Amino acid sequence: MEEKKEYFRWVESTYVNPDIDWKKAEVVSAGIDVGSVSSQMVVMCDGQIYAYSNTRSGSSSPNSAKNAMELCLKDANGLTLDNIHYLIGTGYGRVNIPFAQKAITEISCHGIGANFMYGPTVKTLLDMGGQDCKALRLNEKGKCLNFLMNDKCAAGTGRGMEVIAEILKVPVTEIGDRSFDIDEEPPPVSSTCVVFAKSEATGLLKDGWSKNKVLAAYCAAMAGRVVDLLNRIEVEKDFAITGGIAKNKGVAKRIEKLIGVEALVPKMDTQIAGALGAAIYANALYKKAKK
Amino acid sequence: MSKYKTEPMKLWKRIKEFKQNHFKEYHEAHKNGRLRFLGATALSISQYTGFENAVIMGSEPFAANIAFWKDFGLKCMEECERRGMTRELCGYSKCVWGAQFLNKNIMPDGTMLSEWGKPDFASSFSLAPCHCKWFQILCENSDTPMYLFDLTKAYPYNDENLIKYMTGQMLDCIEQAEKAVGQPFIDELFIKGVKNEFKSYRTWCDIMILNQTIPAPLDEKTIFSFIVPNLTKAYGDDTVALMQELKEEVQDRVNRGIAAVANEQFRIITDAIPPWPALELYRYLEREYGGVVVGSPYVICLCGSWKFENDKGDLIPTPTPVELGMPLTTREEVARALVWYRSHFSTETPYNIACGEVLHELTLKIAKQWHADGGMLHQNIGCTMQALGSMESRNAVAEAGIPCMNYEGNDADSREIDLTNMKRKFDIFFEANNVKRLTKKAA
Amino acid sequence: MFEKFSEILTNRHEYARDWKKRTGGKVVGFFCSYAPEEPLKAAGILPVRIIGGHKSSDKVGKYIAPNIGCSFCRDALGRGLEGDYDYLDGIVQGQTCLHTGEAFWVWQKHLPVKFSYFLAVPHSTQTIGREEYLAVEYAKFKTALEKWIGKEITNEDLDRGIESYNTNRQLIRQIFEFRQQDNPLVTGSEALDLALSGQIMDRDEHNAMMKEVLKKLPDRKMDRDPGTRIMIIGSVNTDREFMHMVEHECDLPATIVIDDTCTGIRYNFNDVNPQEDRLMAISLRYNHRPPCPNKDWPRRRRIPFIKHLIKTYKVDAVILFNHKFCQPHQLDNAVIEREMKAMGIPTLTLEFDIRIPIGQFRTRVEAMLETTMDII
Repeated sequence: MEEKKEYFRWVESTYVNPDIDWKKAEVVSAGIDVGSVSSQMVVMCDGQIYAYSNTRSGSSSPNSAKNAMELCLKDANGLTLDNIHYLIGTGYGRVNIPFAQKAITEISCHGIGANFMYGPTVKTLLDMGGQDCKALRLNEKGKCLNFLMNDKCAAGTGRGMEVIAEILKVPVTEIGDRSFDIDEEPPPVSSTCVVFAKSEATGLLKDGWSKNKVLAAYCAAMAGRVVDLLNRIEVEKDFAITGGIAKNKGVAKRIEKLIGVEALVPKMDTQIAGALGAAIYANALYKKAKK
Repeated sequence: MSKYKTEPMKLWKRIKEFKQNHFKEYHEAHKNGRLRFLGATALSISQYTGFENAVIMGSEPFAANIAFWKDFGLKCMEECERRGMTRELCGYSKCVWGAQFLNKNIMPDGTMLSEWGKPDFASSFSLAPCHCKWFQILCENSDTPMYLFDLTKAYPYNDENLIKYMTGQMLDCIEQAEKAVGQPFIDELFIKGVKNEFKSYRTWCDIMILNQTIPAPLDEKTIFSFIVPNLTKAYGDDTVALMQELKEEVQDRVNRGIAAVANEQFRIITDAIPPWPALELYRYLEREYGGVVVGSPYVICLCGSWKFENDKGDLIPTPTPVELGMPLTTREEVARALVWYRSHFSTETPYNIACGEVLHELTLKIAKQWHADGGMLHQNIGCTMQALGSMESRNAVAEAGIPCMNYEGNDADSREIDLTNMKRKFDIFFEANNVKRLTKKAA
Repeated sequence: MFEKFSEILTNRHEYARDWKKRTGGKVVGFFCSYAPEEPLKAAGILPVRIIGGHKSSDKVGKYIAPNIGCSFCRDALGRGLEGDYDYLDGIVQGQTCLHTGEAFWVWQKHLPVKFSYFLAVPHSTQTIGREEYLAVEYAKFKTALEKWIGKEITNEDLDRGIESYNTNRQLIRQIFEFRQQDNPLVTGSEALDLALSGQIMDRDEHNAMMKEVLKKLPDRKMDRDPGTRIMIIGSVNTDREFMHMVEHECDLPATIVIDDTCTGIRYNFNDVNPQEDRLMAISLRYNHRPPCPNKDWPRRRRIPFIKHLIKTYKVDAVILFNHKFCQPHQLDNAVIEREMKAMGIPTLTLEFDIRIPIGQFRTRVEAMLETTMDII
């Protein structure tokens, strides 16, 4: 029997830093980000990334957190939950993580995480998550000064992109590149609502549009929606993007074009920014408590 | 072989030119030593005729023109959103705010202008309350002197308290405008302008009544092109003459059985401002189904004044104050007469303030009197005032046995218009009502 | 201390039914807070504000489209269509926004009551002649009421109505003043229940309850960290679940110290100043009260009012509380945001629907609280 292909699938991943021996660390801190679509865990040893995992969220927040944790610790050279001094939960499931000592919102965590990832010059951050999208203004320490969030709508989000992938039967990871493989940039589709997406996409294909052109029109529409947020919060350089959609060039490049500012190039998996921020907070709070 | 004879409207080109020229006059007013007045159509236009060198622009046609040119319209929307104005806000407001923020505008023929057209004095009235918020923001941002009228509740008409209140405001507005522009207000000009307006409006009613004929001599998309003279310059001698000519031409079409749509087989009423960026919809209905839109509360009342005969009877033209022999010799008398006439079903007053009271009755009367086979009512997300009452209008028309549907759209925001879906909804509606498709369905 | 107010608010329909039974009087529902309650009280009628139940009803969609009608009005209408308000003898609308107006018309047509009245209220609270206009409309309203109840409403009746409402507003303001303290003696949740219960209760009974509270309130000891002092600015707020979440469920402490809404101080800020022409006196009160954005033009009276409250109640952060599709507030919010930014006050805009996503809102509120403090 032919296996049903799941176009929305993106690669789940883990990482362990071979240069660090966690046993020698003074403080082992961790952050777990339970989002609506994906969950991550980051472990830090004295403020350096030691290990992380990035996985799909399950049906319940405690399970998602557990999965991310097990995946992260699987190859972490014997590191267990008991060895972690302080763990902070973040993301929409943050209050339901049984082994977290504290919860901090993903907004603050993404700010600090981006500050670590991209450096202190980041002033404007766009976090494009699974089910919502946030524009943040940060200070040089990564503290969030102001933020805006889109509302109850999957437009311009990871989940929206996954739906499009399924409708058009294009692997989600290929959408970005394919959306540029067109003769001419089409106008954005009028409806970025994922519920209506199906009828509209079908209509466009019927009108003779290529899949790539439809993808381009979707990416452009999504970019347009999130640029509203950025414009309202007023973009100040440097600008960076975190979250899963940061990996989709089709949206990211179009956002850059619309706001006339290039985003900093990510040095690591942009999906871990929230968990990373939580781990940084955990490190700091543990040290503060010890004093 | 077509069912009816058809031919283009002879006045089409002249009315288009009229619009173009009026916009040109407004935008070039300062160059020619004249004053610009921007006012909401209906109750804040003709009072400025007392200023000798005034060029008066109706804010709704001003906005609709931007909406029609959808690329520029979209830029205006986006500029507003950048400044925190949400998508749900009034489409017309955002067109004009956007033009102001960008300091650009567009002419009816599509020529871009390098200035938005700041008025020397502006006014609006609370047809919907946000009509005044529209001007509040506009005038704050451009430091324009303004007068905002309070039209509390226009129905039941003939309400002495309302007429007195509104007349007082109009007289106050004239004094404020005199101070703001530093020019005298000439009563004779005002009286002449208002009397002209009565004539232009009365003629419009006659033209609309002619469209009750089967086949309809006019279709609504064409009518949209004919509304501008009355909307923004009903006080002009040239408008009075033009409306008379238009009436004669339509009468001639009726006499000769000339149809707007050769294959008219299903007469439709709609209700609200159309989706300006997608007027091709009308052509779709005609081409595919011989569906001709014969009128709407919007277009019928927009440039005329109407009332129910003996309170609950048919919709009939409101007799003008001149026809009724009202005294019209002083500023006060004329202001009062103007308020009286316009606070009937005129412009969009039937939508005021919430529509539930009377709009559905009006819509049903129109459906019957204009011999509609069905209704396609526009759930105009760009205008809360119109959209809110649209479902009750649908219910009233449908319950009276005339098939009726709502379709969702936007008068100004092209992003909110899903043409594919709209057409599909229309297809289903026609199919359900056994209306034969005239073309072969696309594969 | 405020449990009784909360309890009556929760059981408001039972309260109204019981009031009818106890007094044999009539109950009239009103939509917007611009409906004049004094003449109703003078006529021996219990005016109750028609509010939603934060429950969806599939009966509303036939009359008002969900993608245009404000969530509060759809909810309120839904409760009517579901029969929750079957005890009403009449309905009144004091004209303000399109949404409350449409809810009134649909109600009148599809839920017939013995008495219904749409009262024309000036849209602007600044135009020439508005006070006289409204006084005349009140006179028409009074006549209609008299015809319905079959007796004259005398000046003495009107005085009683005015007195009862003036006392009520004064007492509410007195209690609200305790929120100005560094550790407010009244939480925002309590204040909402207090003010909102007034809008559904016999004001004399409400007054008596408030007088009892005022005896004990000065000695109240609060065992909570007041945290960030929040002001709510926006439409009609009946969202008790949200208030509770902000003050009791967030990871960080916060207290809602004041509001600019028509279920709070905006409604209770000014009184009727007695004068010989009672209806003119009432007209002046409604014309001069802090306006709803719908009525706030050409000049802006709201902004100075909001700034005054921020100063008096030592506000740290603002939540712009906006019902979905409440355009009047959306129209003002951009201006308010700008003003708050200039004052350095963090602002969070939230869009409320019939049911709110409490988890999402919690994230946003907590994030805003985090921006007002140093986590590390």
